[in-house]
Formats: sequence, C-alpha cells, structure tokens
Amino acid sequence: MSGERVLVVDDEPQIRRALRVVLRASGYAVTEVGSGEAALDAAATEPFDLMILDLMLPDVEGVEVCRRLREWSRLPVIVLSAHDEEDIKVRALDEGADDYVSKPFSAPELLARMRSAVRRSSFDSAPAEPVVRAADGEVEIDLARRVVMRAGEEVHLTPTEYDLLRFMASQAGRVITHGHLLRTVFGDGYVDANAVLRVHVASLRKKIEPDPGRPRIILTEPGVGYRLRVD
Amino acid sequence: MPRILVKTSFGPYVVALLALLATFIVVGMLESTGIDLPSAILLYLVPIVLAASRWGRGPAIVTAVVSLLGHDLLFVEPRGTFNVARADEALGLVLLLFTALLTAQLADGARRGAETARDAAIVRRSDALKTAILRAVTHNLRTPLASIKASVSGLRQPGATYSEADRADLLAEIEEEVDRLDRLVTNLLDASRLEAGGLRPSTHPQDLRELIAAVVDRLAPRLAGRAVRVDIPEDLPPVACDYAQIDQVVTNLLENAALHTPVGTPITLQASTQRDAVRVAVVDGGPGIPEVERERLFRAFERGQTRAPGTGLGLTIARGFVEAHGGRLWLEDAPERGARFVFTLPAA
Repeated sequence: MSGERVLVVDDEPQIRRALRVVLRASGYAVTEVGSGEAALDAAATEPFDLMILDLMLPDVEGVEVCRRLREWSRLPVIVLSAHDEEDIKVRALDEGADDYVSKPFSAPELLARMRSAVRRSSFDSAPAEPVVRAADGEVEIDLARRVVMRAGEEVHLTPTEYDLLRFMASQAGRVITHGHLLRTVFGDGYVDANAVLRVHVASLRKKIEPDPGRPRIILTEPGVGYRLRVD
Repeated sequence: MPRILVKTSFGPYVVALLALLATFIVVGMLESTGIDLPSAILLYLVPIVLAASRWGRGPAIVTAVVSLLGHDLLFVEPRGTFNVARADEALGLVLLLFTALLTAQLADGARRGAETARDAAIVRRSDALKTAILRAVTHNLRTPLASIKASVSGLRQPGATYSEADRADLLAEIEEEVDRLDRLVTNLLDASRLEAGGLRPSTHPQDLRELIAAVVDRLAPRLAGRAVRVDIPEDLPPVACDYAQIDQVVTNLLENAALHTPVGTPITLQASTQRDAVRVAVVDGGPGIPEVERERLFRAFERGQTRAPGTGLGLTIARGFVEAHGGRLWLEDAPERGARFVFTLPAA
C-alpha cells in the first residue's frame, strides 16, 4: 500500500465520504475539506502528495485555488469537473492543475490518474529523461540529440513539429491545453490559433503514429488539448 | 395584433379631439385679446403631434383634418362657412396632414424598436433563467450520481480492501443517494406541475392531527435520534385541504429540519386555531437562519449555508402547495433558538 497523503476538496459531503472510503481502501491517507480557503490552509500547513479539487466550491473558485496554490507549491492537482464545465476545466489546467476527471467518475479511473500524477511529480524533481519512448518502443524521441526514430528509422520533422513534440514529451502523460501549447511553441500572438495547432498536430501524427487515424501517442483531449502517451 | 386594437378603440380619438378642442379655445382666447395670429396654424401641431406620437396614424389624420376645418369654420372670415377651396387653406390642410403622417410614422418606428428591444430582453431573461434552472437541475442530479458511481465502482474495484464498516458505509451512501434522486424526481414533477398550474388541490375536510401523526410515523427512520414533539390541541377544527399535498408540505418541512440541523436536535410540531384559519408550525432547535437569508430559501435550487444534500426544491414546493390552498408559508425566529416554519390553511 502506498500510504500517500491526499487532500480531498469538495463541498458535497457525500462525494467526500465516498472518496474517503474508496481512497483509504486503496491505501491512501485521506484528509478532506469542504472549501477553497480550507484547502489552501491545509496545503500550507500539512505535507500532501496530491490534491483532488472540485471546481465548484462555495467560497473560492477551484480555478482560483489552483492559481493561488501554484504561487508557492508544486503539489499535483487533479480537478473534478462536470461535463458542462469545459471552459472552467481548461482554465484550471492553464492555472496549473495537472489533470482532470469528469463527473461522474469511476474509482479505478480516478485512482489511475492519481497514480500517474504522483509518479510524474516524482519525475519532475529528477533530471529529465533524455530519451522518451512511445507506442511500445516503436517511437523514440531523443531530446538530447534532437532525433526522432520510428521503427528504427529517423523521422524528418519540421522545426515547428519538433518543438511541438519536444514540449509534449517534456510534459509526457500530462494534459496540455491548446492555449498552453500555442503560447509555448508559437508565441503569445497565437493563443487562439487552434486551427494552426490542429494542422501541425495532424502532420506530426502522420509522421510518427503507427495509425494516424487512431492516434496512440498524441492523444486528443476533446475541448481541452492533447496528451502525449509514453510507455 | 395590438396595433389593430389601438386603431379600433375610440379612446385615443376622443382624447385627441378633446386636446384639439382645448387648442380651439386657446386660439379663440388669443384672438379675442386682439393678438394677431397669422401662424395660429402652428398651435394645431400640438394636438396633432401628440396624437401621432401616442396613438398613430388614424387619430393623427382625424386631428389634422378636424383642426383645419374647425379653424376654417371658427376663425377664418367669413366665419361659419368652409373656405377650403381657397389655396392658402388647402395648403394649410396638406401641411398639417403631412406633419401628422410623418410624425406618426416616426413614432411608430420608435415604438416598434422599443417593443422589439423589450421582447428581446424578455427572451434573454427567460433564457438565462432556464439555463440557470437547467444547470441547477443537472448539478443536483449529477452530485448523487457521482457519489453512487464512485462508491459502486470503488466496491467493485479488484484489489481494494474494505473493512466491514467501510463496505456498510459505502452501501449506506448508495442507498441514501438513490433516495435523494428519487425525492428530486418527485419534487421536479411537482414543481413542473405547480408551474403549469396543473396541481389544483382537491380539498376535503381533513383532520390535521391524523395527517401530521402519519407523516411523523412515516419519517421515523429519517428522524431517528431526535426528540420529535407534536403539540396539537384536541379541538383543532378540520381544515379543507388536499391530503396528498399537505402531507407533502409537512414531509418537506420535517425533512428540511432533519437535513439542516445536527442529529439529536429536537423538532416540535405545533398547530393552533387563528380566527378562520389553522396555523401549523415546524420548529427546530438548530442554529436558525438569518433574516436576510429567509426568503431566498424558498426560491428553487437555493440552498442554505449548511450545504446539506437536499434537492433545492422542498421549500419551494411546500410554499407552492400551501399557496394553492389560499394559505401562506413563511419562516420566522423560534422563541428560543432555531428556525420556525409556519403555514396557514383556511379552516373547513
């Protein structure tokens, strides 16, 4: 059992109760709070490995909690969002949330996201892996040599495609919003140029995906952004 | 077609002609004081423009024609005869008619613009309201669904180890949330029928003592651990009410008290006669509700500070039912502490 400490932030007592029992049964130590201020207080005074944050809170909005938390903490945050809160979810991710789970969520799905968020945060403190492998080792992205190999052969990427892939690889496994990608790879002037992004992602998929029609490496997060899946 | 209604009602014509009559009197007075009024015709613009801008083309044309003919008859020599055949008189008539038509048209355009803007604003407001209600409903449906899904999938998850107590906890949660969804669906149906005016109470003389005792009995599991006192005089007269609806009112008020006060908080039900009405109160010994919050709680999907898992509709529906009976439902301070919900029903 992992024994990792999770801070559950939700104003609905029933959701907190279900999460408390389910997460404890999977070996987590659970602390629960019902408001954004209480969440920030708890995160400041106790050590946690992960925060599960509902976006609809009575006092401080979940997005605001993310923003304020990121001023001083790198605690991984998974937001719980409803289907009609797409825009809020994207804002939370832009403000530094690490991942999201849509309500109603299943326990295994949440637990998988939690494991991967905790794993990534332990990577973050270690030096970056120079070679990222995806699609069962068929694709290798060598960040040190700036070379991308597919099935043993070098893939020729345009500079933009390489920058896109490198940034996604540096955030491997994490949801990256359209806005975040555009700002980082294309610059501030392109923040709303989702169409530009789609074109580059499509050509990148054509070059590295085993089946570009059914992407296994660059996954689409509908309405949010992309996620690079690594082995 | 409101515009046609305006044209066929005689009120505007009468008022316009009265305004015109006043104008004739003014012109006559000015003339009698010896002031020369070659441009008296300008005075007639007052009732004409008034009629045109307020009531449209019809009253404006009538006012214009009558003003010129009247002026001709009363003030143009030879008096008592019409001189419209004269060129200057004919020109005057044409000018007045032209002014009347133009003003009516401009006013009409402005009025239509205002109507369109008002309609658009109403549509926008009701759309915003619908969206707000829809969001509240989906939130109220989704929250229990999310906790049921998390609990069930957690229980089924291979590898998780649950103690007997944990398992019982999750199962209890699932049952409570299913009950809550059931209440929500019932409440939504009641609310939509109330909204449509389709829940007219079928009233018969009922003994409130029996009704309240039955509700308290039925809710016993939800009221477990609380001292529930029923304080109703034996000579309480029967009230004319719809049994099912008033049962729902008492149920909602009791559930509300049970939801929003800590377990163990006592609840008292009182009834008394007040002139030709019967007054029922549900009093709890909880923290009470600040005066500014009280009316808000009766609005659909508003929830109190406790964030208890209610449906957000219980009080709205209770008030709807009581008002359908010609009674009132409100919230006041309890004598010592806590909240007192009171409703009245006409005595049979």
